Amino acid sequence: MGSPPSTMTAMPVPQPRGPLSEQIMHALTGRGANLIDTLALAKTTAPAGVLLDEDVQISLLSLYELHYRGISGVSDRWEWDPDLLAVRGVLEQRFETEIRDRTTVPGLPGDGDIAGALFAMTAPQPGPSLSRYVAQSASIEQFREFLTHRSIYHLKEADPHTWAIPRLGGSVKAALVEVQSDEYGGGRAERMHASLFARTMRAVGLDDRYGSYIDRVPAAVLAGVNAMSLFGLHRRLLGATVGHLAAMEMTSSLPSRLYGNGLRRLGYGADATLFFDEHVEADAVHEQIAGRDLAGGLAKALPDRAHDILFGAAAGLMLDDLAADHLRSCWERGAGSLLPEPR
Amino acid sequence: MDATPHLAALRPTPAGMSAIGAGRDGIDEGGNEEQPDTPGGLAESPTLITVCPDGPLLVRGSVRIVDTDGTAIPQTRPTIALCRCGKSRIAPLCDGTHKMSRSLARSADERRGDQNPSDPA
Repeated sequence: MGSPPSTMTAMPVPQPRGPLSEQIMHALTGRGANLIDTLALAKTTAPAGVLLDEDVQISLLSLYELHYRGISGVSDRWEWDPDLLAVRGVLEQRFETEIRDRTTVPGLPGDGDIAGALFAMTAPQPGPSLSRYVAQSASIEQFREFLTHRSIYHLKEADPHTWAIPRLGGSVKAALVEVQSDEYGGGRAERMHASLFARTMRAVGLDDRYGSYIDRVPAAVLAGVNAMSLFGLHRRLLGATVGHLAAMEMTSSLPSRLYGNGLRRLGYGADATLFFDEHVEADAVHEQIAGRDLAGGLAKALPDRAHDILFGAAAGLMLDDLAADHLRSCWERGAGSLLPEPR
Repeated sequence: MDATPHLAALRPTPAGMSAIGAGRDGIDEGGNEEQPDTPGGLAESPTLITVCPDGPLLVRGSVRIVDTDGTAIPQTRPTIALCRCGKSRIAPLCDGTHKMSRSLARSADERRGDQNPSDPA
């Protein structure tokens, strides 16, 4: 069985969520826009902050998508358009500043054990969590919402961290390739994690086409996906990409078991749970390679990247919490966590 | 410095990747520059088992694992992690459950002194 044909499609054009994204979509779809005005707007919009601003986050997501599979009907030339890149640069600078302001980065370990520091940062915490709630209590509607949020990343799972491969060498590069190769199914498209996620989506009756739910996912979730693209596309942030990947792997195995349990509780079989079952086993391997060989190896080879490794990990955890808090706070008050369907 | 028992000295090296360097975080340093080439090009390296401090055994290379009945346990990826804590729910493979335990058995290659791995950073 090969991968479904939908896996090569571009993202649909997102609905604008405010004046900034409206101008950007106008430009991208050839309806004309003055990108000098857009640049000025990017500097001043969302004065209270860009991190949770719907207009800014959908704008960033769209601008980043030009570097992945592109947006349906949008010319590939926009990817390297200097005026559009200037807009992205302004938004990124504001976004990165806010991420750093909200992130508490632990000090570098005295013994240089970056892997140990990462495992300590990601150690399982007792108490309520999204994964425990999903395992024990989530309705199928809530599980579909959860998958809908996650689809923005998981249908391109591993891609943002792959940007780091050509920036590394030697054993550190080999470690990243070892992890990514497994993420991409080891040469078998049907085992690619993005393909397994699409299978889970189909099993619960969701549309697995790339980006099909882009208009339903709020800034609280998009911010985490955009941070991965920010880290991945800037070689300056190589350490952050590596730390982000390590933290992601280290916080995956145990929750994945719980998410799988949630699906089993709701009566779904292996077809639906395979994505999560696979992550229980795979990420127990990946967290060791990513923590020790990749992050530990990078910190040893390039000590000036060590702080950013911990920053990337801490930022990823902070943004994960932000997304999880959004879901749980909506569900606790009996509300849905998705944006309304666009009219 | 390197108290890790070398269960295997060689690690497989895919074509084009260098095995020269810092080694795998110092865990399996030593001996990995010896790559006997076969006439076909790629070295036929022995399977490598790496001890992860406070974690599983990483197994790279071909192995056959059977359960107590002798039934083969399918290996779906080139590198697998074998449980060392005895609490994995997918034993003999690791599922990360060792991280739930605050009283981990200290391995001989423990390098973190007395720091509790569950302490918040």
